[in-house]
Amino acid sequence: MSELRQRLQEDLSLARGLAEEGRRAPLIGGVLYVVWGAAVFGCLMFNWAVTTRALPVSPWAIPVVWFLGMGAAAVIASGIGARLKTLPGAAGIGNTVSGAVWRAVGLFQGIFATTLFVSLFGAPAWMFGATAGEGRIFAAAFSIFLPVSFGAYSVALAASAAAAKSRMLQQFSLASLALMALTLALIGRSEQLLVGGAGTLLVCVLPGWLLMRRAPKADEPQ
Amino acid sequence: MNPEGYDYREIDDVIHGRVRLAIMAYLSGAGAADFNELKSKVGGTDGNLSVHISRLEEAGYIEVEKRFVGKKPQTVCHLTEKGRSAFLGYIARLGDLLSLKPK
Repeated sequence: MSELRQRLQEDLSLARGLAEEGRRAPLIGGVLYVVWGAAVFGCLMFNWAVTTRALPVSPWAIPVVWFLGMGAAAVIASGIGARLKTLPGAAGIGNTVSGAVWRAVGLFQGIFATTLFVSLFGAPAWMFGATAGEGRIFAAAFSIFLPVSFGAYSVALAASAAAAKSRMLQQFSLASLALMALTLALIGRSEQLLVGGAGTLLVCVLPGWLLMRRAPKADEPQ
Repeated sequence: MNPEGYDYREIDDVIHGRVRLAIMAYLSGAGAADFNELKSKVGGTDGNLSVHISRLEEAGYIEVEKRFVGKKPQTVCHLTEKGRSAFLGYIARLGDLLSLKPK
């Protein structure tokens, strides 16, 4: 084999290896799955405890805790997100697509819940004049939030799985679809909140933890 | 045409060269990567890598985005469609020259 031919073959082999390496850049957003999943889980458990009167506080504490919980998660996620952008693979297709689709899901959930809340109670007037009947209407309407959310998670997990070529996330996407059906079947019942909490651990916290184990660290050699 | 039967004029000069080939190959898989990531994959010094990135940018094969993450500046290179076509053409030509069709 001539020197030139050997050099060209080495070039081709180098190109193939690097292209494959670039394509397989790991997803780095696992910690965000864990942060948001844990926050949603905590809020759902509080929601369930108040709904079933296991925790004797005013039902109005439910929306307050949800807004505080989601607000805290947003602040933490924003700080972590800035650091994640410096990790290897952050600008790659998998992470770009996954970040975009999860941001869309988060916005969708936030706008959905806020619009539902404001449209039923009006701006701060709910604090003073809302009736128990209005509260029940809100609770009933809000119970659609979980199935819709699991449907949205399923789409986001499937898109992330396709972009990052991850079979693992594909399976979590299917699990999220199953949770969508299950929480839809439990609509209007307090058990829905428990199933929703367990489901959030299953399709947000668990895949997030698994992704974190595979993700590169900021200070490790790439 | 050289004595071995290879016509060097068929090879894209901009890509041909270990560092630029490596940059293009990595970006063909990743789509985009920041400077430090490319440096870790491709090797070389900052200055050397910058020169090669500029050459690829001038050819329109990559787009260079400069942004800040917090207070730190970050340079991100994106493969363009023109760059992807050129890279695929280069690989095909290399395969032809070696009588190996890329998979």
